[in-house]
Amino acid sequence: MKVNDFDRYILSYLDGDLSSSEAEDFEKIMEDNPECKEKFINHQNIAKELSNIENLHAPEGFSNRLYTKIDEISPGFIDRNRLNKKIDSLHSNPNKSMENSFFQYNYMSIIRIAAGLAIVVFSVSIFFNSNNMSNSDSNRSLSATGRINGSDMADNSEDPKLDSNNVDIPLEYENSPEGSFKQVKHKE
Amino acid sequence: MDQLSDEQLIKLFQDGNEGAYVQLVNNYKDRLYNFLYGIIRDVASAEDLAQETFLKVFTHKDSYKGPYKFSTWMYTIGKNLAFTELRKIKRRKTRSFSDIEKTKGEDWGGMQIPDPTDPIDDEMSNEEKSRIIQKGICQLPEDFMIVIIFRDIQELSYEDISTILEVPIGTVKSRINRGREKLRQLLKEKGIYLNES
Repeated sequence: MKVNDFDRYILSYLDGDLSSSEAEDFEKIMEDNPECKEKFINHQNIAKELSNIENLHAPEGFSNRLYTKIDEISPGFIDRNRLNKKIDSLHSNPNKSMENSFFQYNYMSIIRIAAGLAIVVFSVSIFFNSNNMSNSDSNRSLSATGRINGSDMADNSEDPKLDSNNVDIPLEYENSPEGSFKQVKHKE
Repeated sequence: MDQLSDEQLIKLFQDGNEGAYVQLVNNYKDRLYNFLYGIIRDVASAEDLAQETFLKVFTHKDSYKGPYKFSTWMYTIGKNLAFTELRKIKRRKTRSFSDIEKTKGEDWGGMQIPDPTDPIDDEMSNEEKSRIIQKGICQLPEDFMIVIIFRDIQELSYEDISTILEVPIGTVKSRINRGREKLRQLLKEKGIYLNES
């Protein structure tokens, strides 16, 4: 550290930001240079006086006057009758307030997700219902005639259950839990 | 409310929570007023500016975005309003020590000028001492005045001051150094000593 750098290091020394070796160099410069020492002491004194300056308080009624102006901009935003209750509730349960804020903030996102899920569920239910209905129709025709209703099942030749050898045996098809048709044989 | 940070409060306020805004006002009204008074040196004007700052916080709440501190944002608004007002005042009249200063024993902006041979010492009330030094601060060039007020009175960090003034930290420190020295010299020229060696 050089004498010419002394001014740059005054603040850092006062703030305690110098390393121990830098602080030693700084103090050495002060010992060897009375002008630097005087400069440091003067600086230290003014800093001390500035830190002791009394802080002022906002004039009485400041908040009320402010809220009156806010009423002109946004009437009713600040309900002074509820004011203390609101602050008290924030004091007593700030986490709940933050949770409420979370749900409020994400309200639309939640609505959108719920709407999307409802559409999916509705679509799936329609799909399964339509399959059930077509299966019921096929079931009625088979029970009645023992034959496959061609309009319901255009090509049954590859269906192993629909063996032409069995067409004379009354058959009923029911949906299995797996969603496929299984043959239920009746006693003759 | 001490459990919630300023950043949590402003977020709640942005979501429409009036109590959060009120708490921010309670947290900062004294500090903001003190800061603005240090610049403008007038009670009514300082209150007007503080209220205007809070009104801007109210109407422009969505302008605040992290990661900056709420206080940094608020002080920036207040500083800009104060300097605008200060320039209006200076255009209207010249404010300087020579305009206001009187000889020893007469009023100096409402204060009695102390005997120049007596340094400011503990016997002088803190209030008197504060007034004299604050008077000196407002006579500094704007660049020095604002950093002295931010650092020595508002006790903001160098980083926060750097953010508000949009200058490097090195510049902030340099201005503080030079501002303190300038203040000392200013007071000395007017016969006010600070227990100097």
